[in-house]
Amino acid sequence: MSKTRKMLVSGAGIGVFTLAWMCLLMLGCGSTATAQVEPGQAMPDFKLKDLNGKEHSLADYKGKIVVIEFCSHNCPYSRGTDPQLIALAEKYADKGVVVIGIDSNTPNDVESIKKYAEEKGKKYPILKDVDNVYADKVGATRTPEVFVIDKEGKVAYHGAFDDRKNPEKPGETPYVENAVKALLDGKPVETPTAKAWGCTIKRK
Amino acid sequence: MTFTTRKFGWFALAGIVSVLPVFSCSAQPPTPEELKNAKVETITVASVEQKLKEGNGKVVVVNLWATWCPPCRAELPDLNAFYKEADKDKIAFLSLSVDDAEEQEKTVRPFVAKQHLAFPVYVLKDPDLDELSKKLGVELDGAIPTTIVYNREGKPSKPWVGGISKKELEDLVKQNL
Repeated sequence: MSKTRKMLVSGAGIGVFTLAWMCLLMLGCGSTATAQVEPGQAMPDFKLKDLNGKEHSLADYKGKIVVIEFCSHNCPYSRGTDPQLIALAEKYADKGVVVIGIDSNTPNDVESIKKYAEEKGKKYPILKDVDNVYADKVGATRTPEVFVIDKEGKVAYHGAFDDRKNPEKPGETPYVENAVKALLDGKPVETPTAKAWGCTIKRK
Repeated sequence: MTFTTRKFGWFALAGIVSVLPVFSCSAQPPTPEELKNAKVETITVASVEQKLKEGNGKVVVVNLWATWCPPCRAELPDLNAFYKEADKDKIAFLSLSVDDAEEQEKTVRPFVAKQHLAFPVYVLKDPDLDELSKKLGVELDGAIPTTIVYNREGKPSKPWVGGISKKELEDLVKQNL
């Protein structure tokens, strides 16, 4: 391939990538998820790959309490919950609690998610939901958006991580940790849903 | 370098330069003049109803956003262009920010100033989702940006969740004019 041709091809590649990225950034997405899984209902199963290509399914974690957070390293509100989520994962790991991150944002590629996760020391699995198929299935619309699933595979809590008003300041009520504690103690979850602001999941 | 390559090089450079404002809009702090001209006000959720009523007889566009939300920031140039061209006798625009109201002078005002937003931005104190949903007459799930268009009788459209382009907003408004 001549030097000129190589430059043309790489230039075109950059142009196409830039345009595609800008379109995604500028347009976001006007579509919304439809069916929303609510507390008491069975959490639909998934088969999604982690950042190293290993496939995970919800069925793999049967008998455990599972915390699923729809996340995005490009959303400050989602990033803001990471220190508390990492701490929660470590605190309850030996009590049979599993934390899983799911990134359904179309513009977020595996490499950038992996780089961020390594920088932040995220040790729990982060799964890439290609084409937001699973987000659509459970009706997830924003990041962060959390589902806490009990040992029987039913949703025990759905909503905000906590009641923060500022992306970087933890809220006063840790909804997710409260739900986990209640499940571990065999008590009902006092607040099974809590709405909160978050960044729209950028869909396909 | 051949003529074609050179031409493409200029094209690529122009492309990159055109993208730069998206990344660098907050690189330089706003000037005192820009800060002074920024129309930012803090309001309670209770007063949102009144703000909606002020648009009685007009099509009202409500946009919910925050400075920390990337897709919200991305759609603002389109919303700004829409507002500047809109017939203000027929269309009202209500921009509601869910940023932390206590920190709005450090976050929202500089952002609005730098973006030269022509419309006033109202920062909500304690934006409780259920309360705000009641005031706006729609079911909000917390995902932003969200845009709602009210027809001249005050009936809301289904909330548009996610970024909206100028063309998409114009089409929504036309359906309600």
